[in-house]
Amino acid sequence: METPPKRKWASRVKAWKERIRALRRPIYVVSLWLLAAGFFAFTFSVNRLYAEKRAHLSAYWFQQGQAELEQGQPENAIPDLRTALLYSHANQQYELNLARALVAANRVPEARSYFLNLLEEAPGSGPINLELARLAAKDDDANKARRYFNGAIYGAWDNDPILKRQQARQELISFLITNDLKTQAHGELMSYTAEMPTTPNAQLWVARTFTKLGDDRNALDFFVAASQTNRRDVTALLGAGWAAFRLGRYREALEYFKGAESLHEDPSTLQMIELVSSVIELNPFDSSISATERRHRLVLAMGIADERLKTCAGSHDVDIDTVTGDPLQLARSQWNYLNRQLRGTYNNSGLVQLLPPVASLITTVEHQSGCGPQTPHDQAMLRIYQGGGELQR
Amino acid sequence: MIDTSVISPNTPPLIEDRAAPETPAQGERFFLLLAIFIGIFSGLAVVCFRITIDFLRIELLGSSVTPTFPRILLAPALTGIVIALLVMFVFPRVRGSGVNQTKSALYIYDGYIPFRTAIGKFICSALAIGSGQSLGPEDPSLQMGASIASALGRRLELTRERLRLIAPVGAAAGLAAAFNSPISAILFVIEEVIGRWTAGFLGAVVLSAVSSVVVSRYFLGSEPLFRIPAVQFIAPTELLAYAALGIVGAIASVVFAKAIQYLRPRMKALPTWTQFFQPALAGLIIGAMGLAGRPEIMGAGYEFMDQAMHDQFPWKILAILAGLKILTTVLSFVSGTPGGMFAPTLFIGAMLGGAVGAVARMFIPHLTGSIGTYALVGMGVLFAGFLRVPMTSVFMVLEVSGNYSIILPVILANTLSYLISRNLQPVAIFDLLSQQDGLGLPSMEEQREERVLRVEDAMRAVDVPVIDSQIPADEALRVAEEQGAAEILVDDPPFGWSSLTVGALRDAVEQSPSEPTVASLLSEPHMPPIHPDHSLDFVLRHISQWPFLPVTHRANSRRIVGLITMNDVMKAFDRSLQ
Repeated sequence: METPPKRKWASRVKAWKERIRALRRPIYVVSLWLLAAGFFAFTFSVNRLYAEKRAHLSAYWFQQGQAELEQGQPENAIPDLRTALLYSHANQQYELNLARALVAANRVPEARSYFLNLLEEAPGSGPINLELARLAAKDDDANKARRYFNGAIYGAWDNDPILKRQQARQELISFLITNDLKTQAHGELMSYTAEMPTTPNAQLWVARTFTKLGDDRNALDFFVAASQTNRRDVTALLGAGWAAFRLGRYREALEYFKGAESLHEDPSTLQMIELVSSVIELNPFDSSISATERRHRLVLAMGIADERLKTCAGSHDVDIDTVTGDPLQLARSQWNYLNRQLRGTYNNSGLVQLLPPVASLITTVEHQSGCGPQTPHDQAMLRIYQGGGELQR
Repeated sequence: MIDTSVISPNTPPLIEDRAAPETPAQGERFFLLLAIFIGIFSGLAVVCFRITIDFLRIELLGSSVTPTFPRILLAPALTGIVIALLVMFVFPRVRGSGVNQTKSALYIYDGYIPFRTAIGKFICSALAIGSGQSLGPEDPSLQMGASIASALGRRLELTRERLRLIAPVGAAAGLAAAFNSPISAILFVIEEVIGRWTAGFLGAVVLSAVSSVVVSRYFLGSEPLFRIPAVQFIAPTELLAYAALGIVGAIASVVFAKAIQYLRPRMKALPTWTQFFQPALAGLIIGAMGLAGRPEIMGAGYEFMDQAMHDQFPWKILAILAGLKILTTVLSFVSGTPGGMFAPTLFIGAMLGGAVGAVARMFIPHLTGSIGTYALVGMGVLFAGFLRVPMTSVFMVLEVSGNYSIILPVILANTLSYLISRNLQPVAIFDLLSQQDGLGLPSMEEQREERVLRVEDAMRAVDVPVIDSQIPADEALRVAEEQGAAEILVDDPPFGWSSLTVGALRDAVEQSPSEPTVASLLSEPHMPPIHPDHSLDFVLRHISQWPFLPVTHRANSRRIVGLITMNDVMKAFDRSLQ
C-alpha cells in the first residue's frame, strides 16, 4: 500500500527535526563563538576609545604638572602628576616627576617611597639612584648616599649617559667634602679626572676641588690646564697663581698673577704681585742664590722682625730689653742671640744652619697679636718663613 | 519587616529537564566548554563595566584625581536621584548583595537569575561608583557573571542540576575578572557561595575564572588594581605588630558589620518616598566629606590604596580614612545604592594596615617591614573579619603580592581577625543580609563549623552472636538459641559481613535434608563496610536494608568494633539537638 503524501511529508519533517535536534549542540557552540566574536569586537572598540581617552588625559595632566613644577609650584603640580599617573599607571617618567615634585614640596618621606618603588622596578636606573642619593645626602646618611651615588655613577641613563655620570660623581665629591670625608673625596676626584671632559669649566671645577682638599700640586696642574684651554681665563690664572704661591713656587706664581693682571686689572691681584715679588726678593731659602745674597736676605729679615718687635712692644707697653719672661722679651733675647750669630757667619753652610731658628723667630714675632696691621713685608716674611727652614729647589 | 521583593524573582520559570538524551561524559564536556564561554562573556562584560565606571567618573567628577566644587557635591547627590529612580521603577532587583542573589539562584530558584538584573547592576553600579558613592565593582561583576551564566544555561537547555551550578560558575568568572585574581575568586565562590566542591564543578569554575581573567588582562593589562611594593617580613618579633593588626582589623570589621546590621532594616522601614532620596542623601554626605578634604573615600578608591601602600599618608590620615570609609560605605550600602563591599573592605584594610605599620615603625623602626606589607596584610585581615572568608583572605594576599614570605603574618593576623570577629559578631555579613531580606539561605560559615555526627558517636557494643559462615547451620542455631538472640552476624570472608534471623536459620535446618553451612543461607549483597569515622548520613543511606550494621576496624575488616542500628542513629541525632 502506498503511503499517503501527507503522512510522508510528516515523516520527513519529523526526520528533519531529529537531525536538527542531533545538531543542536554544535549549533549552540557555533552561535556562542559568533556571539563571543561580536561582543569581543564591541569591547575592543570601546577599549580603544578608552585607551585614547586615558592617553590624552595622562598627557594633559602631565604637561600641566610639569609646567607647574617648572614654575616652582610643586604643591599644585603634585595632584596633577598624580592624576597623570592615574591614567598611565606604569609610566615611570610620570612617577619620577611626581617624586621630584614631592621633594620640591619638601614631602621627603612620600618622595622617598616613590623613588624606592621606582628603584625596585629599575634597580640600575641612574636618575633614580641619583635622586635617592640626594635624599640620603639631605639626611646626612653618608653610607646610603655613597651607595646610591655609586648606583647613579654606574647606572643606566637614557640621555647623555657620560655627562650624567660625571655630574653624579661631581655631586658625590661635593657631598664627601661637605661631610669631611676628604680621603674618599680625593679618590673620587682622581677617578673623575680620568674621565672628565676637557672643558675649562670642568678643569676649573677639578682644580678648585683639589684646592679644597689641600692638594695644591694637582690644583695647579688643572688651573694651568684650564688657563691653557682658555688663555683669557683670569680665574684659572689667579687659581694657578695662588696654588703656585702656596706650593712655594713663587716665580711661577708671579708669572700667573701678572698674566691675570694683564687680562683684568684688579687691586687684589696687584697686591699679590707685590707680595710675591717681596717674597721672591726676601726669600733666603732659594737654593740658587749665593751665600752673600742669602746673608743679605737674612739680615733684611732680622731687620723686619726687629721693627715688628718694637711695634709690638709699643702696643703692649712692654720693655723688651728687660728679661722678665714676657713672650716679647723672650723673642727679643732670641733675636739678639741670632743677630750675633748672623754677624759672625758668612759661609753658606753656616747660613743654611741659621735658617730654621730664624724661621722660628720670625714666625713667633709675626704671629704676635695686638701689634697693629701687618705691612706687605710682614706678610711676605710670614709667608716665607712659616713653611720651615729647608732650602727650596 | 521582611522584604523579599527586591531579591526574589517574581515569577521564576519552571525549569524542567529538557536535555536531549546524552551520555554523562558528553554532558560533562559540554558543561566545561560552556564554562569557558561564560568566562569569556563575563570577562568582556567586566571590562565594559570597568570602562563605563571610568568614563562616568571622568564625566561626572572630572578627570582630576581630586574632584573640585561643585561637581564633588552635586555629582553623587544628583546621580543618587537617578539611581533611586532606576532602582525603584526599572531594575528593582539590583538592590542587595550579588553574592546572596547568586546563592538564591543556587539554593532557591534552580539557577535562575534574570538577565535584566545584570543590565540593571551594570548601569546602576557604574553610575553609583562613577559618581563617587563609596562602593566597589566586584560584587556587581560577580552578579553579572552569574546572570550571564544563568541566561546561557537556560538558553542552552542544561539539566536542572547543571543549571543550578552554572550561576556560581559565572560568579567566579565575574569576580576573577574584576579582581584580576583567579585563585581568590575560585576560593571565594567555593567558600562563600557553594560551600563544597566536586571535580566537575571545580573544573568548570577554574575554566571560567581563567578564561575571564585572560580576557580582562588582554584588554586592561596584567597589572594588579594597585601596584604592590616590595613586601618583606623582617623578624619574628614583628608578628606582635601583625597580631595587633589582626585585633584592630577585627574590631573595625565588627563595627562595620554592626553598623550595617543596625541601619539597613531601619532605612528600609522608612516610608517608600524616602527611598527616592536615600542614595542622593548618602551621595551628598560623601561629597561633603570629599569637599572637606578627604576625596579619597569616594568611589572604589584603588588609586588611594596604591598611595597608602607606597607610604603616601601619615598614620593619622590612614586611620581617619579607614574610619570615614566605614561610615561612607555603610551610608551608600544601606541607602540601597547598588554596588559591592569588596573594594571598600580592601580600602579599609589597607588604611588600617598602613596605620598599624606606621605606628609600629615609630616604636621599632629597625624591626618593621614596609608600610605596603602592612597594608596588604590589612586587606586580608578585613576580608577575614568582615566578609568571613578566611581561606580566600589568605590566598588573596598571597596571590596579589606574589610573595610567600609574608605567609606567617598573613595567617596570624587573618586568623585572629576571623576568630575575634566571629566571637563579637556571630552572624557573618552575607548571612545577616540574607536574614534581613527574609531568605533562608544556608550559612556557609555555619556549615563549616557544623559538627558532623559520626558512627563512633552512635555505635554500641556487639550484642549478637558472631558466627563464621563456614560452620553448619544447626551449630549456628544452637549458639544463637543459647544466647537468646533473634539475629546473628555472619563473618563470610572474603565477601564481608552479613546477617541472618534465627527464624530463617531454624527453617533452613528443619527443611534441608542435608546439613547446610551458614554461608549457603546468606543472600547477596553483603553488608556495606562501615567504619567508626563514617558520618551517620552515610549509615542512613544503607541501614534501611539491614537490622543492624557491623562497625569494623579500618585496618582489619574482620575485626568488629561495634554495631549500629537505625535506633542508635536516631538517638545520636536526638542527643545532638539537646
